Amino acid sequence: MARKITKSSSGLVRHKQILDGMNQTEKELFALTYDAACRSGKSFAASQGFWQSCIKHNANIDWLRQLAEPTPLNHAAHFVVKRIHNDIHSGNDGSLTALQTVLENAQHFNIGETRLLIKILELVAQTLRPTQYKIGIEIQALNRTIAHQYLPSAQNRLQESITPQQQIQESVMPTQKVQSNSPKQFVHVEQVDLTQYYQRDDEYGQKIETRWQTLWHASHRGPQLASKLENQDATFAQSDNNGTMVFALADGVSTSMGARLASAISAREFCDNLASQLFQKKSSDAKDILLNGTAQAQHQLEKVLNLFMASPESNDFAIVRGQVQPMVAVRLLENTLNPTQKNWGAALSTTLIGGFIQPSSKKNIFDVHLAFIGDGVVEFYDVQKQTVERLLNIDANTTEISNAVCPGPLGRKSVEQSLFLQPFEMKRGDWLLISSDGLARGHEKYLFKVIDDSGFTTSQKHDEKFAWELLENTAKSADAQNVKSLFNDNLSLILLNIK
Amino acid sequence: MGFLTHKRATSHTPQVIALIIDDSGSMRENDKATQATASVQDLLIQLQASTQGASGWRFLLNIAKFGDNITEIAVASPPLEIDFNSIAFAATGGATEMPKALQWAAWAIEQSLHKCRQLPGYDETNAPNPLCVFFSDGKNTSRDSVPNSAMALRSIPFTGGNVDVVACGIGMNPNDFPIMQQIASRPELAANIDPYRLGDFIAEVGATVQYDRNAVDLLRNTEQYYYD
Repeated sequence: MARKITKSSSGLVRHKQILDGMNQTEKELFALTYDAACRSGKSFAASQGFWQSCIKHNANIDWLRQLAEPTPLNHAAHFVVKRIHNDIHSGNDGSLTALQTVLENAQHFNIGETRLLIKILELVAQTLRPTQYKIGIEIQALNRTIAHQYLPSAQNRLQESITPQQQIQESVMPTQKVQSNSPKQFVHVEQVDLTQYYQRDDEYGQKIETRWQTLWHASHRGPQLASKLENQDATFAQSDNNGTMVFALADGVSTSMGARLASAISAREFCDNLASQLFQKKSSDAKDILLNGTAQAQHQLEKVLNLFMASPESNDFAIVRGQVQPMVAVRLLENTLNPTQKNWGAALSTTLIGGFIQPSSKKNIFDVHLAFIGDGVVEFYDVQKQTVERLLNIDANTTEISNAVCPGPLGRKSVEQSLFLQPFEMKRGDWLLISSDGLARGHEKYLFKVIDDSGFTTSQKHDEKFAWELLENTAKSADAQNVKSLFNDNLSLILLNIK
Repeated sequence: MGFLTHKRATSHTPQVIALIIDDSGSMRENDKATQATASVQDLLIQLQASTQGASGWRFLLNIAKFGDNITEIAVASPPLEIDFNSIAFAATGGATEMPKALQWAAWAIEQSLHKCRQLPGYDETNAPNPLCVFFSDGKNTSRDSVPNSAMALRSIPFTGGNVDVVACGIGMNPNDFPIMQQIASRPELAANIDPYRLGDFIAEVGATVQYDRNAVDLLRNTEQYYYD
């Protein structure tokens, strides 16, 4: 029996046919225009209906240009057009940006027909203006998918079609009239093999050893009382044969979509980047090395976000978004790249503490350099003095963080604002402890004391699982004490000892 | 008094939130229904995003629109269980039957508290006060008593606090506004906002619950949206 087509589903089918009827360049110009409009103001005065009536009345290109100019329209213009003209020039309006983008870029996409340009404006308005209907929301999602699919090729086409002379002019005249027309960044969607971030040694515990140092690292879901659905912490470490070790610990922001993946990516990318700099002795300034590492972590997150935007139906994205509805998830990604909703947390967001240890110029002494974005704890145990010093502390009552490694402007700003601990020396027998905030929750003790209660000094097995078992014992003790606030989060730990 | 506390919503201390929004014919003016749709959807996205990674929920949402009758959108629902597409205000509800809406709010909050109390480890003393935000743009058309229904809502027992009721007029006629002061937990928790700022006010409701603020903070942070 033929399926009955409802009014709304037939509308969706009709809309799909319209999109199918558009050629590659039209879709690209739509993607570019949509992207520019998203980056501009919050309001969107010119509605889909307005652009439809423009098509109906055979509006020509001169008329469109007139609308884009701030000069008031002459008295003969229709009052609705006058109102729209007034509204879109009142400042901070996305429809003016869309109109200017279409007019400026039509030539690069070989679109000469005014009707097609207006059709693109209509689609942009349809996608960005609020709708209260289910069918409208579905159509918006469809349009957004097209926009994300075609944006990279649109940007490539634009870049190729702008002559070198134009590029020079743009670079020396950054404040031209229509700044928002040009996308602020050119996004090339690169493939990223995410399986490398799914295979996690830290969730079982890992030990890394050189002639001079031993490092254990692990991450753990935390006490049952913390009610954590997944482990969003991650640790990673690498070493060479010359006494240099790189290590990182990331704590995914629990309110951020994709936090688990973000922490795994950040910890690994930071270490890979430092390893490529240090193991081949490419660079010497410690702060530059650390900053390159945090920037690489942020850059990789941005690449992954672009990958998800380009293929929102992928299995990888389905894993990341979990229970979040696909349409909601895409909007969270969009808002991460172009924040307009200040209360929505950035997706793929994590803290990061990372650094390296390498032999000093003094015999049997090692220099440690650490950077951090967001919070965490660092403690140093001086074996000679028998003292523990807390080098980085957290406010145990605060769960919000202002800086985080994530895609988009917040992440880039956070990387620029990376903080550095004063470099320090370690000698034979000394210990360094790095942890996320979980181990510090609900008590005032040093973390060396916490892990001591979990078998740090009494354990005979300093094997691969040493750090993981310390976390496991700590989590179990919190559950046994039945204190909800104690270690009330995911747990992660890096322990470094000089032999 | 639980009124001015800044307690944190967690999976052991979830916060109950009720949004009751007028969907009568007058909401069609000034794009109010469209604003309400977009901003409640935005609020839902915000709360869905902030519930990631936990096995429990930080918020239980109750959302309804009212006109002649109540249309439930969500009852005692964690944000991730609410269908984004179900949030739609169309200004087709008819008249403005406030007492029915308030009675529904009281019922929904009681359902939510019941659900919380079933949670192992639920700590009501340290949970933020339930927050009910009641929106209307018009005059009450019911013959039933608004104050009685409002009193029933405000007096739902809550250990360590009380139900905070914020009554938000949307560009209301000043002559109709006193009824909102009767609905609110305290007269100063009633505000008459510019109809064009409805979306901003709802966004601030989202910020209030996400950042552990209270009803007084909500009103303080939205003073610039008040209707002259």
